[in-house]
Amino acid sequence: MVFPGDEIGYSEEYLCGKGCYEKDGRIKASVFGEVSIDNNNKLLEVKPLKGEPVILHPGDIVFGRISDVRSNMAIVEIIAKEGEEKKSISALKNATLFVSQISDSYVKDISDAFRIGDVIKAKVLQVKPSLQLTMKGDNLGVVKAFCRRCKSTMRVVGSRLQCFRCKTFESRIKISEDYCKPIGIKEVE
Amino acid sequence: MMDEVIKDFDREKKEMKLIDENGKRIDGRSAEELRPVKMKVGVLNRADGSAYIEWGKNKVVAAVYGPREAQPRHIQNPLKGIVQARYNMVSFSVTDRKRPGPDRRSIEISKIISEALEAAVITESFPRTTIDVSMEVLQADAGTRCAGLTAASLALADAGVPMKDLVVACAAGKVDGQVVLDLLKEEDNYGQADLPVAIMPKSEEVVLLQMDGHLTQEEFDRALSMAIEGCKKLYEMQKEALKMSVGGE
Repeated sequence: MVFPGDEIGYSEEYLCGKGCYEKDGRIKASVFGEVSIDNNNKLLEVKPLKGEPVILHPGDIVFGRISDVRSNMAIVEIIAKEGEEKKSISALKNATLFVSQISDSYVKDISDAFRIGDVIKAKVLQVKPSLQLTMKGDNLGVVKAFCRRCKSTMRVVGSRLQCFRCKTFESRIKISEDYCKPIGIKEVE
Repeated sequence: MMDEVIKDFDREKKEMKLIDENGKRIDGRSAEELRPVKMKVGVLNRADGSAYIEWGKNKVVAAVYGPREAQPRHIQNPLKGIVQARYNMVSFSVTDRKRPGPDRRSIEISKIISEALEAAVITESFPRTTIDVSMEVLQADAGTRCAGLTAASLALADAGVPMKDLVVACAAGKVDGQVVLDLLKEEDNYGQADLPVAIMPKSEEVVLLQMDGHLTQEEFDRALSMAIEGCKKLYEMQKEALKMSVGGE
């Protein structure tokens, strides 16, 4: 068990991995956790015993809300990372999703894919210099949509969405298989 | 009438001996002894990290939120994160009801605590974000900024925020002409000086140093080294509290 500031090795001997930092030729722990030594790669890491801040990496699955729809892209405000739904994101939360990233097939009009307020499940494509998302892939797509007339939640009927209150139909190009499924709860098999 | 009250007060002040013939203080401690300290990590469910400290009669809860996007945007730093600490005394923390809300004193303490924590947190890993640290003083008996800072650093470790080192704080001062460690309320009010010190215990870097009152050079040096020794004792307790929070060893 090591505490922030504890010396765990020398820079000549090991590389400094996650959970540590280098100072004056020494490798020191930056979080409270357990040391793990990878002798093949000569890498020192500290595995945190407490939760760690949520940082997005390319390939992460995230949930986000559409905050604006432009002609060729949508602005998404990221709500949470899949698997760590209870923690907030430790970085900028505004991402962009281009039309070309909505589905594998050609999308003529972006407003067929989502409207402002929809909740989507998407994958992180790029973090630097700007946050970019994609909806291509299994399970990705709209996970919650709201009726444009009465703003109540829509449910899936066939391949379309129907408002359960005013019964109007709407469509979305890509509806996720996880549409309106509760998150953070594992399905019982 | 008022004059009499003031005279009474002055007499009381003169008669009040803070250190007796045997060198014991009013609560029976020796000059280099700390008050009893209890620390607990992870006391709040909704915060990313939290800690509670009982230091003599002081009771402080600290909570950490973030790193998260800094708002309003102009306070963001594109190169590193910022630490925003908020020190607050609740209205029932002192004998006379304290008027709630930030005042001159708590704004100052918030600022110096932010700066002390910012020295320890590796902010470069979280550009454009803020780490919000909130400290609520539930009961005060002198030395609350030290208690708050010590708890805040534990809460940061609980949140898993990367830090160069933990931060510990402890005060020393001068009472009845004698340099003593960890002043309590009466000693702070009627003593000659108070010197809160915060350090990063591994490197002994000083991250906070204030002085209220007067000390000679020799007294200052002695008070500083005494406070640093006190900090080191507290550091061991901090480590113990962190261990306990993951089920002990």
